[in-house]
Amino acid sequence: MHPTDMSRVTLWKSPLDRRPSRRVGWVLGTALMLGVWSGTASASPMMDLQLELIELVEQDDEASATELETRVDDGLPPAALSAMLDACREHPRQDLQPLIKDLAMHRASAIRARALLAWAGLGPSQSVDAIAAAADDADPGIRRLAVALDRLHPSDRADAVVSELLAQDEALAEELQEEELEAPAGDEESDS
Amino acid sequence: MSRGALLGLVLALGSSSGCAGRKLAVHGEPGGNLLALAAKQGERADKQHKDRPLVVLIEDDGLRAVDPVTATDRWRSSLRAQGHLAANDETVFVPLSEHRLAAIDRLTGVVQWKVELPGEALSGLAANGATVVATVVDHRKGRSRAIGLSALDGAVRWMRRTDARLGSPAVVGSVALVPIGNQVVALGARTGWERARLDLGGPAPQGEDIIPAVERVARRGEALYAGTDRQWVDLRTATSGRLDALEEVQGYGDVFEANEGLDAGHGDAERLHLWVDLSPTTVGHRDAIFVCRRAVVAMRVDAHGTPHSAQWTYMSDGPEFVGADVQGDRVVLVREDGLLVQVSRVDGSELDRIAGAGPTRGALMLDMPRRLGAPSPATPQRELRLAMMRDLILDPDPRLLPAQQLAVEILWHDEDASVRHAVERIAHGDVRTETTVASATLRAHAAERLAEPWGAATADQVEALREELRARPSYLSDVRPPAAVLARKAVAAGDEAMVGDLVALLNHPSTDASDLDPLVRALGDLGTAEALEGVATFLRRYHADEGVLYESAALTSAVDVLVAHAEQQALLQRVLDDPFTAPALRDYIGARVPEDGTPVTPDVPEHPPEIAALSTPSL
Repeated sequence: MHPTDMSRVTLWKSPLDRRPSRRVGWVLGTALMLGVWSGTASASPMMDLQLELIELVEQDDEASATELETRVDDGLPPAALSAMLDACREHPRQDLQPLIKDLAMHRASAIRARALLAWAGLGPSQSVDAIAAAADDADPGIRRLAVALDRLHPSDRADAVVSELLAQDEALAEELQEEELEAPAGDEESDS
Repeated sequence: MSRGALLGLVLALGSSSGCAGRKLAVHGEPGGNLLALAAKQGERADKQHKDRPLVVLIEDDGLRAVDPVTATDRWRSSLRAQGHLAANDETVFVPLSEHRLAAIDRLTGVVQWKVELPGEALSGLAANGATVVATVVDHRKGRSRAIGLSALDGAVRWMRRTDARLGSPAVVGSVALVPIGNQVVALGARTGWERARLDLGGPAPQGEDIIPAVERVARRGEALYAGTDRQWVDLRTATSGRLDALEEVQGYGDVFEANEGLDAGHGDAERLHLWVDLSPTTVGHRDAIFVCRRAVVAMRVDAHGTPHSAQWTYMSDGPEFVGADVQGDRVVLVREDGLLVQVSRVDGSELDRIAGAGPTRGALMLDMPRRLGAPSPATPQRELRLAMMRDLILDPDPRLLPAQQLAVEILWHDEDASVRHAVERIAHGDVRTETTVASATLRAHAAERLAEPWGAATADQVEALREELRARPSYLSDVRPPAAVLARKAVAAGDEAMVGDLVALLNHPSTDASDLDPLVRALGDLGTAEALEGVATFLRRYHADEGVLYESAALTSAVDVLVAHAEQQALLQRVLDDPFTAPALRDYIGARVPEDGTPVTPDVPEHPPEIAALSTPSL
């Protein structure tokens, strides 16, 4: 497992908490800009691939779902998977749930984190499953994400899972307590 | 009456008629504390004992005593031994023809006395300072007898007859430990009175010819062991009724020589002898040394006696070994030409040798020094150990066949598939191509290994392993399956039903990176379509992920596994052609799959161990 930026996610100041779609928008914007700038040829094969995958996610039909599954099954570089999963989060599609769940078992923590975010965004039932999967992960960063997801998609079942997690993961529980103490008053309100 | 006078009276009664008429029960009521008695007596005897190193060589025309420290002859005797010798601090006792027994002064070799033993044939002999205890077959007075003779003049002090056959005795201090039925009896060495009896467990023996469950008792250090053939029991745990067994090394040699009630002397069977470290093991393996005529193979065996790694081999240039003993850090060997050689128990290097003088059939080693003062060497490197095994296997001498079969066994249990591949070469006749019975037998032995699952486990072990394999890593449940260990066990079990679980562990994100490579290799070893598909999926999914490539050797191992299978060439080519494939992985595949798609190195690793050179003609 790779230590990732997701492992250092700050629960109270997570950009994922505030603007879930900003990153994908940025990727898209950059990609489009680069595409326009370079005429018919794109900036890099990776960028082409990312755009292609994002377009497939946005197509929202059976053929695109099949194509995405084939692409993932054939193996994609992490950057492409990240872009695809961010698009999935931006455009939730129930028919991509098996694919997203599959990527929630990816070896790279960064991919798992994005897949869990996309999974949790599919609906209340899926969010509980995603939080349970995140809470059971060996990577501390992913376990922290379980707490963040619980705050994004609160429910009694998810709260129970997080309680169990905090009972088990003393380091995480202490960290959360410290952050709560350090958080300036009204911060949460201003965020909302 | 004073205590001394009472003791004198008892001794007088004992020596005249006391025990001669009393039968020794075949299955008596266990009683007394045999272990405490033996421990107390052993401690007392050890304090009084003085080391006098001596090796008595049983030559064709007599006996020769050699001082192993100064390498000088101490004495010679024309007595021709017909059985196994015994000794105390002062005297060596020699079974002779016509059921006689002689006593020789240990320092000078002068014959002190000769007597005819009661009964018909000798079963076993042991002695302390005052008494020689013999077990004999005697059909006229039951089935056998235990006899106590004075060590000073050979006079019979006591006799105990019984309806069962007796095993070979051991004398510890002033008690003689005699195996009978499924019990061990402690007899006072001076009087023959029963002082304690220990049950070895199991049902009481019945029938006409009751043979002892264990044939001899041996004292090693402070522990007492009783055993027969390849089974033994530590008497401290004897009542569990379970004999430890070396099931897997059956057929190679006896740990406890079984003489079936008769001491036939130093016969041919002794040239195949298995020494095993009997002490309780906490690390899951024991040291064992197999003496096979002119070869010595040191190995490790697991709890079931399965030989799983060779330590070293030592070869004589021609003559066979007729005696062997392990003393501290050395193995002491006596050759049939009388050569006395001592080799390191750690690496098999020769530490000392004393030239022989004539044809020799066996030896009695007494008070051998535990160390020679040489620094303890290191265990040979794996490559050297494998090279030793190779040299042993390639030797065409038919006398080495049992050792070579054992070597095949060891190679077959190696965790490295390329080493196990050597067994295939033997089975397919790539080596040992000479047309002899020995080479044909060795080939058949190797072929038998190939026909069975590698390191086959028992049904219970397989079921337990399946259960372990079903577990998945879970942080909340605190489950972390030792995937690498389980993978190796699964391959050893050869159970294809385990493939699914191995693949699931390979794909689980919480499986430790260090376990990935063993999992891939295990799936490659299992080699089923499902296993290969699991490896292929892993490679396909992560071929473009440098993080996964560099966290372990699993992806390159996956290439090694798949490159040997023609049906996987298309996948490898696709990965090779993918512009997003991790560059280092592309180079790795490119070196193995050239443009025409033919694998370059289908099954030989980059740095093959020595054993892979088995087929080299120059060897």
